Amino acid sequence: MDRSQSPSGGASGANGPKPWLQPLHDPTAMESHLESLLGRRRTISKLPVETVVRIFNFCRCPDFARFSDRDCIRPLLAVTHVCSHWRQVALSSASLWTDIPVYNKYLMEAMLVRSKKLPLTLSMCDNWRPIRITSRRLGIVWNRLSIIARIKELKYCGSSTQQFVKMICLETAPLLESLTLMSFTCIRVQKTPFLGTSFPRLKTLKLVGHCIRWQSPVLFPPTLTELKVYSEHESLRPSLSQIREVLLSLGGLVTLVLVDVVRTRKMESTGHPTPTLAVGVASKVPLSHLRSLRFSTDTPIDIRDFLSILSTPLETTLHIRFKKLDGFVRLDGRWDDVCTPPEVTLHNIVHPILDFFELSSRPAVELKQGCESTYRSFGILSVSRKEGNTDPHNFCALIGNHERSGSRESIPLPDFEFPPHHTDYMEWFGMEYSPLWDTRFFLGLPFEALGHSRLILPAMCRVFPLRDVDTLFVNSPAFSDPELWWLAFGRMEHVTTVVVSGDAVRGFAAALRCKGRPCNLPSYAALNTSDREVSFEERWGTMTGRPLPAFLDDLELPSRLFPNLTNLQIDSLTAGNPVLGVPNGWRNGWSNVVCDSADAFPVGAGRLSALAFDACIRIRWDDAPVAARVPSRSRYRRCVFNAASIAGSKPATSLAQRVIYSQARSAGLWRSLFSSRRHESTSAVVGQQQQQEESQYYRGTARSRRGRRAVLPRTLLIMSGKDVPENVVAIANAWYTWDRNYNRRMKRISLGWMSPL
Amino acid sequence: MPTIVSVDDSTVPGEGSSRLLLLVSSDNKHIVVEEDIMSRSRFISKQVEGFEATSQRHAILLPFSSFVLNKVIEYCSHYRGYYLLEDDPDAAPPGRSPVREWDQEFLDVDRNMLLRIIKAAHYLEIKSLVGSCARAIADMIRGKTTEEMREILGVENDFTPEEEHSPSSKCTG
Repeated sequence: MDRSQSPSGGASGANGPKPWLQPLHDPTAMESHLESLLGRRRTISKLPVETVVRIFNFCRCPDFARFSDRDCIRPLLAVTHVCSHWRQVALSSASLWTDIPVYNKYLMEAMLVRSKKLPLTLSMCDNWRPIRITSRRLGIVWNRLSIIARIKELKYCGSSTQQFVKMICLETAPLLESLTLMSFTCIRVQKTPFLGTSFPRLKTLKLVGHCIRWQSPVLFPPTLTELKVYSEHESLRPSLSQIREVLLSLGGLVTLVLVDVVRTRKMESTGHPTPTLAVGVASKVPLSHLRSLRFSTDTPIDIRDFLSILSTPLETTLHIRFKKLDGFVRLDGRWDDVCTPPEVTLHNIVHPILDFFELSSRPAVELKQGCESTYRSFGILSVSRKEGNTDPHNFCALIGNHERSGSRESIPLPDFEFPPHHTDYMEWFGMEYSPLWDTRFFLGLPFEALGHSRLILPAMCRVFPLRDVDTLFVNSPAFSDPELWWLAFGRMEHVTTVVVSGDAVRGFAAALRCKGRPCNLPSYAALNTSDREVSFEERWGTMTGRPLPAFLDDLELPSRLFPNLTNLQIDSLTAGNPVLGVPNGWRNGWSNVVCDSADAFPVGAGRLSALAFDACIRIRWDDAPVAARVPSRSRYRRCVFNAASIAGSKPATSLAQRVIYSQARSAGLWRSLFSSRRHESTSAVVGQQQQQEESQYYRGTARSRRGRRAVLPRTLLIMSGKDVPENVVAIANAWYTWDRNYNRRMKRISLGWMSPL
Repeated sequence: MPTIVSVDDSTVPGEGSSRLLLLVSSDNKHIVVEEDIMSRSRFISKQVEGFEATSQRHAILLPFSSFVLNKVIEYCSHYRGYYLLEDDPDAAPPGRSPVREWDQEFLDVDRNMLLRIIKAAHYLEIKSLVGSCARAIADMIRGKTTEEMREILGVENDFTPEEEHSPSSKCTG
């Protein structure tokens, strides 16, 4: 629009429309123009009050990094100082102030007033470590909390549980619905019944690290719908019959979690297991409302016994985990190195469990095996049956190794759940999420048993109805052995989708490129996709160099591995970051190096990544041309750069514009990353610097260089080398202080490191 | 409230499996969209119920621009057929919307546009979109000082010195 002409409209004639009245065809330009004419800016104050409250609610508790309750409440306090309207809205919204902090008595008083008469949430713990509250301090807090009648959710984490339980049981909490008591040392609670009758509406009870006396059949309130008990001390665990007596009074349970609670029956020295607990159908515990059952113990025999005392609906999802391999490493007496009784074979254990599960009619069954209490790595074989499909042989499978780095201590993380793998895998895969993926059937292997994977996994695949599996998720390091791919999946001719990550990628690539084999193994393998084919020529014998197990000689394998494969995803980023609490962090964390270079793929990493939806290639300096061959229009381009490769690499810089995974090994890397202009070579000063210097650099330089930054990735994964977790935290803290424009563009920031603390 | 005007039946076919709606934006752009797509909007659903009660179909005038409306339609199209808990009128009121990666990409717009979208979503009663916008705005101001918050969202400090330093505000931060 020509604004230079006079409003009298001389240029258009007397009858024509005045040029300055011509409508703007671009609506956004028009609105901006109107706003500028009106001399006002669009502000958040124009939003409805309930929307503003919702924004404040999100400010209150960041998903991103909730380090403690202080971090939870601090942003909310800040918004009350922005303007009078915000203060009025915030202070008049009682629902914002119901999370009562215990670290500041003045703030506690203020929030008690502001929350008016709404039910309260009281969390007397930190997210990761118990809050240090002395008995005296505990008494002061509790005495001040004459508002126990208002508490709806109570969470306590500390070593004074005994005293705490005594105090809370003295008064009646009519609104209390959720109670969580956590301890990182085993606390013996003598009180019976445990909670008495003080909580008439208690629905959720979560106990971690407590030893309660299971002898009383009225141990818990009968109103419970969710009972989670973790990590009883081994010497004080109740017997199965005691648990049965307690469960008889909890008929309304919807969720039941018993992790390391039941006393296990030891194997006799003769090698024979103790007889199965004989429980008739009439004496089973009827849990007609149960929807989720999670049970963890040492051996599969205990699982069988425990399941024998329960009567649950078919809709119940079962999560079973056991730690010891009794019976699972012995197949038909062929392995003499494992001393297991002949009764405890794979068939004898698995088949009764499958019979109990009524596998053909259960929508979801889960068997896990691993070390939950120590959170070490464990292997998982997961098989899912698509819900609604009545074909009992229609499964998809996941072979995985979930690794939680960052903690060597036996600190239970009770809120930890196995990642919602199917949802996110599907998302990564460019496929729409379907609830059909919700069901799963897990079989697991402990980390220390991975050495037996070569024997166990193929056997499992033979025992369970996996021949018609169509989707595989594989990330177990055991599958770095290409033989195992053939032994475990050789007969799965209907596989169309493979998601492989971690060390398994190397084995997968080798398994695909094998051609020619001894005995009955396939003569060649090829990867077919919808529009191209990649063939590998190496010989099987050259690839493995080891003889095959004799018991698998009779396998009838197809001539090609996965002949119907159409979808392939290769990715290495699977493990989570448990410390910083990054949502979906498991997807962005670091597991291990998949391919240090393109060597694992003789055809070329670029070509293979072009086939994959989400290729993760660790690019070295020499591989920069390979990176350039990644299609520029790939929806997901994730590349891992090390410190040496980022600087001065045009392809690397170009790729980095969208998604960058990088290792924060030096401040020089970051200086080159954030100060370089697009396609401009920079020289990075690669060298180790102190944490403090780096932290200062991020705070200071990032601001001063505002506007000059050319590389603005959407996602940034910062990974440090070993012994620098403090750096990661420092970077995270510095991140908050970065300028808002940059921060706003950054959609996801993940922090992690390669080695455990 | 938007004005409801009658439109020609040929413009808005009301029969058949794929029924269409005519939405008119504040800049007088006519946008035809399938009714199924906009069913996520409680406001639109109420309007459609009114149509069925009176056996007359109308255009729906909306008080925001076509640019904003297209963004909302894009959101509704993306989640067409999806069940989102926040949009379920029978479900419990959502406390916090879940993080959806597509939403983050979708809402990667400037502040003014974000505020327009959230106002439109509030008007159309699309709770899931309101939640995602609220999360996006909260992400913008989280961790910022009050001065930075004012600058980001264009809020003026209207506190009097007495209010800013009053004893009653001591516990507010």
